[in-house]
Amino acid sequence: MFTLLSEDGISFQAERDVLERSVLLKNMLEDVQDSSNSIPLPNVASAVLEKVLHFCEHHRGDPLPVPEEDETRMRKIVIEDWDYDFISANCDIVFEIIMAANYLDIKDLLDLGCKYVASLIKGKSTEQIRELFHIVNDLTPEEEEKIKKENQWAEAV
Amino acid sequence: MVSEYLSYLPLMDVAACSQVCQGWRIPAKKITLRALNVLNGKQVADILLHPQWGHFVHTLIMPLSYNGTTWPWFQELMNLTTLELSGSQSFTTEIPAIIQTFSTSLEAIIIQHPFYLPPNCFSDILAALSFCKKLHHLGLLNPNRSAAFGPPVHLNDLQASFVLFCPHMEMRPTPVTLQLISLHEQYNPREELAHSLSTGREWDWLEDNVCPFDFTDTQELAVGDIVPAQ
Repeated sequence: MFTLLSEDGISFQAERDVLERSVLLKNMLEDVQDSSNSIPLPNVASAVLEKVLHFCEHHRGDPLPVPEEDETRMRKIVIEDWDYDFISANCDIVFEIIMAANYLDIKDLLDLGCKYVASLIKGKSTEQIRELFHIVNDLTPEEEEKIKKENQWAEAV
Repeated sequence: MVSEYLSYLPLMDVAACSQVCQGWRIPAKKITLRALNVLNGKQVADILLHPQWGHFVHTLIMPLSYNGTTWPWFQELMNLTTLELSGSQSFTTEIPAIIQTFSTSLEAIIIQHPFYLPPNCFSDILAALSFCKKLHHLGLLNPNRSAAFGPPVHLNDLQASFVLFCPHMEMRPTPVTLQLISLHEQYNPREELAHSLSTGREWDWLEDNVCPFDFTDTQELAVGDIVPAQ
């Protein structure tokens, strides 16, 4: 068992094959034979780390995802039932989970978070997206008009 | 991360996202310019105004007659992985030079030409393709001529150009897929037409001693004729 230390000083224990879902931790563990020292994760809060470890625990032993072959095509939003339940139950910290997955380099969790956010955006108007994510519109009316004109071709596709 | 979310969305939604705030504008451009069609006036207007956005482009779609080498944005296409050249009556002699410009990044090339090319054009294109070391998908399609692409080039001419441009046999690109017919024809073969137009010389360029490609690792063939398949 290895011990992880969150940014707010909470310890979590996990086995090697769970931690190795993270490319960052896998690389770190290659150099660590002695599991008595804890691994500090200064960018991940305990509330988020707990969820990340829960995800990694569930997916332990799964084949690691492979990179997309053709990045120019639109990716599809396909989410397994367990994953959907997991991410929607934690929707209040979905962005923190995404940032942690990005930092720890856990591709399947990062993809899951991004797919979930994309599914929230899909079909919404600009104003609805701003409301959903509490984003302040910092574009001037002239800029908005210009972007609208630029986007006319997308509507024709 | 915004461009990651947007990569799962259709262009209509990406367009809505680009108007959310300043911070979402550029990530949205990364998505809308991933595949640039030079016949799309709005896309071209975008990139003419902001040549630096050329590095968002991964796929470039253009007619064989289009010569974009003089545009500043053309020099910014450093992440180009796919080039799709479609048929037109005319043909710019710059095509081999264009292919060579992107030879370090190109992974897929599809050239679709409805007419026979002048013999030297075809061998020049082949020579330019020999520089694309990462090439894994090669599509040379001639929809009107069924299985045949290009003229029956003399073997000696091919050999001369191959020796000139590709001195190291072991450095040849190794395509995983070779496609010489359209996807439609792949599933609905026009057998009679394919055979009636066969001259017997048109596949000379696939002979290993003059071929700019090494097909040892090729896994998928869509060639429409037994001769190139062999």
